[in-house]
Amino acid sequence: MPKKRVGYFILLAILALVYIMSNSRLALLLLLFSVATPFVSFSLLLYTARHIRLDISVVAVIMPEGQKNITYIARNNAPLPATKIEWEVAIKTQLMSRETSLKVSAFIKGRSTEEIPLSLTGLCAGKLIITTRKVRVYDLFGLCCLRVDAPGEKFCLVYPRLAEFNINMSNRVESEDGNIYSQHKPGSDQTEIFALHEYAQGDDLRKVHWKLSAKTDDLIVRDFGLPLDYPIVLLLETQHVGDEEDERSLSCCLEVFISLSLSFLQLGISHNIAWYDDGYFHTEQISSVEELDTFIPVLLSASGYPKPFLALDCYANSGFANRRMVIYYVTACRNTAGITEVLPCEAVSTILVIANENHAADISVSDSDIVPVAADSFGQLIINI
Amino acid sequence: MMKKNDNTSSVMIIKQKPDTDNLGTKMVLLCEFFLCLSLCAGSWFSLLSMVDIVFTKWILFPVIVLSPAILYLLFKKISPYFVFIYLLLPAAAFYVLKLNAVWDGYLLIANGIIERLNQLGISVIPFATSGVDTAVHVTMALAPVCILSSAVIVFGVIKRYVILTEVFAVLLPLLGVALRIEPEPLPLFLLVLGCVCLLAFCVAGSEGRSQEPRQTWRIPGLTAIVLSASVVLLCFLVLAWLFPANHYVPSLKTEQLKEQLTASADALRYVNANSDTIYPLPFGDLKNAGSAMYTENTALRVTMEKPRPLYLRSFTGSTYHNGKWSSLSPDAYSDDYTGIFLWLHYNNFYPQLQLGSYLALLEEAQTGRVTIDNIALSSKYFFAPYEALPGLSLDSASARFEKDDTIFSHGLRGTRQYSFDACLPPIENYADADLAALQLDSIKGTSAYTKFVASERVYRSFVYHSYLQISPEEDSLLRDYFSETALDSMKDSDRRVVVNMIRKYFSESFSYSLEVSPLAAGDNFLENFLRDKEGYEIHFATLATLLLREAGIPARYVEGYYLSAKDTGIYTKMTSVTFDMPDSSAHAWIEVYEDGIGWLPVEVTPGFYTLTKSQENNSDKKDILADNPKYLYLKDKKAVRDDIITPPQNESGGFDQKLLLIPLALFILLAATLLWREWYKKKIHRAFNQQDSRKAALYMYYCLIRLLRFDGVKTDALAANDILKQANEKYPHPPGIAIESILGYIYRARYAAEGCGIEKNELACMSGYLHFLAEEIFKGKKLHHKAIMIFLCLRYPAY
Repeated sequence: MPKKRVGYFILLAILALVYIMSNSRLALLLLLFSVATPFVSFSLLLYTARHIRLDISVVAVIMPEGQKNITYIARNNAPLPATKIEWEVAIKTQLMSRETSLKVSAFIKGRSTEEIPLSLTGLCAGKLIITTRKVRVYDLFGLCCLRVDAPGEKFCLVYPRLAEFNINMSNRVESEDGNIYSQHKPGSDQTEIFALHEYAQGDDLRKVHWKLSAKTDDLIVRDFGLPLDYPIVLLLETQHVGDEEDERSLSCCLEVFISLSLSFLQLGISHNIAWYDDGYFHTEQISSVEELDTFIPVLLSASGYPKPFLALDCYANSGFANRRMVIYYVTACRNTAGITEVLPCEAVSTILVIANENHAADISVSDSDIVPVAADSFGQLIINI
Repeated sequence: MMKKNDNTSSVMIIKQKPDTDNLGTKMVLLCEFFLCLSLCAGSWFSLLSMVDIVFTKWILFPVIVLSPAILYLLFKKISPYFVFIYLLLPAAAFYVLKLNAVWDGYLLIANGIIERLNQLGISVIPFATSGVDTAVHVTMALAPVCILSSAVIVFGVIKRYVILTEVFAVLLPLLGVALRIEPEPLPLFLLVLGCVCLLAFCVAGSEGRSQEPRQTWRIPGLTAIVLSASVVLLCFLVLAWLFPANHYVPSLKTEQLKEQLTASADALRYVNANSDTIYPLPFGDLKNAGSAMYTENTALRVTMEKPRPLYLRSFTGSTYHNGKWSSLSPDAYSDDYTGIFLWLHYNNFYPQLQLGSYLALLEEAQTGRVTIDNIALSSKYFFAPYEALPGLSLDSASARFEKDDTIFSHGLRGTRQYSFDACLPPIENYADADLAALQLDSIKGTSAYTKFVASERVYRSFVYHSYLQISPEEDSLLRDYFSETALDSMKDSDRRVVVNMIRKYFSESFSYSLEVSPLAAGDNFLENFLRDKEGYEIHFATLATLLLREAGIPARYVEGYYLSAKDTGIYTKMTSVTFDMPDSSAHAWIEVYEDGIGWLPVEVTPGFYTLTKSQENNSDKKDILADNPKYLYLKDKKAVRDDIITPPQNESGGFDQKLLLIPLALFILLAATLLWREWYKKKIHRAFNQQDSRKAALYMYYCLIRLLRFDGVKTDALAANDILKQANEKYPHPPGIAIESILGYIYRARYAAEGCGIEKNELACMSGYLHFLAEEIFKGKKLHHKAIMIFLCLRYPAY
């Protein structure tokens, strides 16, 4: 529009010069016409702009295979058409806070509604924030514009791709949360009886099974069960890594995290998930797919952050530290040496998400506990951990 | 269509192509077609109406109308580049190069344009043509140009090159308008309509620029075109009604502005930093001249090989009106005198150097080199004496000899240093001398003289045609101040006698003074001089020129610089002397045309000439001056003062533009009122439909109170029961509405706890009651109250 305005003022100047040099009626008419016409056009714009409404229709959830459209609905209640309505669509990803914007324009006839569909490509798992701004209605000649109220922010969750993880677990260990009991050792879980035996000197009287003892002449003592489980923590690190493939890698971290959790659940292994978001370190126990489903939207809404090993630091200072948990650390940061600095005594298996397999060669995997996962081929292969 | 994403994210937003329906595509094509037609036809018909040429209408008009149509179809089906480069251009080239008749046609068109230019005063010699079948030749010449220009316009419309297309279509007609060659109104209207609609069309469909001409999207521009066409039509009609052709008078202020602009442009070009150090020449603008305040700073530096007195002339005034000398109008060079100066220049006859050219014919002519260094004056003019010869700096490459005007310099910034040869004047004083001495028999037989005489005769006729004219106001003024007898006696006298009479009159009746009282608005420059009897060179030269013209002697007013005999006297025997001429050497004099010789400078300012008894009254006629007292020429002063010279008529024409303010003010008031009403109605609508139902109900209650107060019911806003009771008494039986329920809603809105809202049907009931009351009140009111109700938006609709 600035070009048009400059052109218009140049035209006015030329016509004014023509009028001054010729001092003729026709030149005067042309000059006045060039002044009056935009004025009339602007007056019509004043009337029309007040009858323009712009709304947006956004799906709440976008599945990987599903439709990826957002639709703008422009309504014109005035009898005159709106020659051009223009606005800017900005889509920001929560993970990276990076923005894509696009200018869209449309023509709306009088007393009608236009739908302007926009399709989205290159989506990554996470939360999208769709903002509409700079909604302007132009006059007939594109010289003037007026602002129109923009629709509010809309949000959309892009669900992750899922991949299968082939998990090879070693022996279970004693765990208060376990749902399997040891066949060889008693424990202290009173809900489960490991064995019954006669009272021997030194046995705790509180363990006496009085009911059974009443039926027999001897005192019967109960040994309680020892629950066993895998003490697993899935730890998500959504730290920005600062390269061009950052967004894809981070998004893939979410996908890996959720896929890994699902894979554990498919094996019947309850586990904990932990992540850092919005100033808090979140930890949740996941025992079923339904429980995981409730946390997926929360996970997808997580924001990225620039500080390295933030989730790891929070874990180190949390109650989970020093409980000998097995940590599956999902990150896109290639500086894996820092992990042992933060958690020197913990068993950490790192799943390192990289942008594509070409970068795998750049990674010096000295530690066998690092499993690289390529974001571009995620979902196509089974990953062994 | 993928629009460029401005992004740092991997997410891409793609706008989807709209569905292209047949009807939409057809409408687009139709719009484009009519735009092409409008622009081509408008442009060509405008141009044809501006030039007087004969052509075959039944051939050319179809070409103008059909060529955009056919080209549009071709460009849509085949690539426009292919059509243009491989079909049109070669065909046009072949056509033009092979057909001689086409060339004749172009010459005829050129002559038509030349004739128009000549009417504007731009003299150009027409081309020689065969004169056979002119209409056919012109038509054959115009046809390929029509087709090619239509191709450019159609291409621009299809590709949406708005600026290119519109500039191409409107450039020549606009140029014509600037030169005051006006086209017919209808084609021009069509052209303007096409331009405006094209702009609106492109704005409306700006997202849909197609890369392939065959693929068009649903570009909804038809409504925009219709709307923009309506706006154009409305504006044109209103403007044509406001400024009717028969009442239009060119504005004086615009003319003044034009002069100011021209003067400003000249000042930028020709004035240098030293110009502020001197008092400048008025260059004919005597009304604003005022007192002469010379600074004695150097204005010109003149180096003469053979020092002699010189009149270095710059500005020459040919026409006097209202205190201003100006050049001849373009009309003076038209009709019988069209191209006369082209012919004269072609024959090396330059009126500005006529005297020098004549003196060069004399056997004993001596020349000397003169070099001028313009220190502080305007570089627009060449300061050259009458005896200057063509050549050196005074040739067509360095100087512009503008018809019969002064000599101008070339170049953007003019010329400040120039040299030329000048004949040494054989006579010291042209006014007093016997010029028979210059008309020697020895030169009369020479071919150069014959050629000079032939040219001079032609020029003389122009001089006598142009330089005897006086405007009626000045003529009337002179006749008021001078008796008929005196003026008639001057007519019968010789040039020298008349000059002497004027000189004597000036010497005895006027005094020289550089300080003159400033001219008040409405004062007449000449009349003030005649009344006050005081002035300096510009006054005397002006009056003398007009008196000589009254006497039938061609004369002109001249400004320039004068190197007097007093300044050069002691240097005449020296060579190459440089004179620094201060601004006080500025001078004004007259030049009088001597038949057979040319323009001669004549001094008329007292103090610059000497009257001798022997030079007085050379003729046999009776000397009125000798017999009559000096003031006999003047009528009684009192009688003159009592004569009120009617000021010029108000030239702004019969249309007082201040009257325009009244309908404009009314229109603005009406528009403001309508806008306010719209806004208020929307406000009410928003308030009634707001999300908070309690607030909506309370607003309806407020509207109820407002309505009843308008009806004259005294209300206490807090006493809802009383209010409704009064309303019900006055306007009972609202259909389907129970007053108690309305009261209930109002109480609930006012007192209910948070979370208790008013239902939608309850709000509808309240608005229905409001509407019922409004209608009942409206019915019972008089007309002016009804109008007030409408204005105040008290006729609430049911929502």
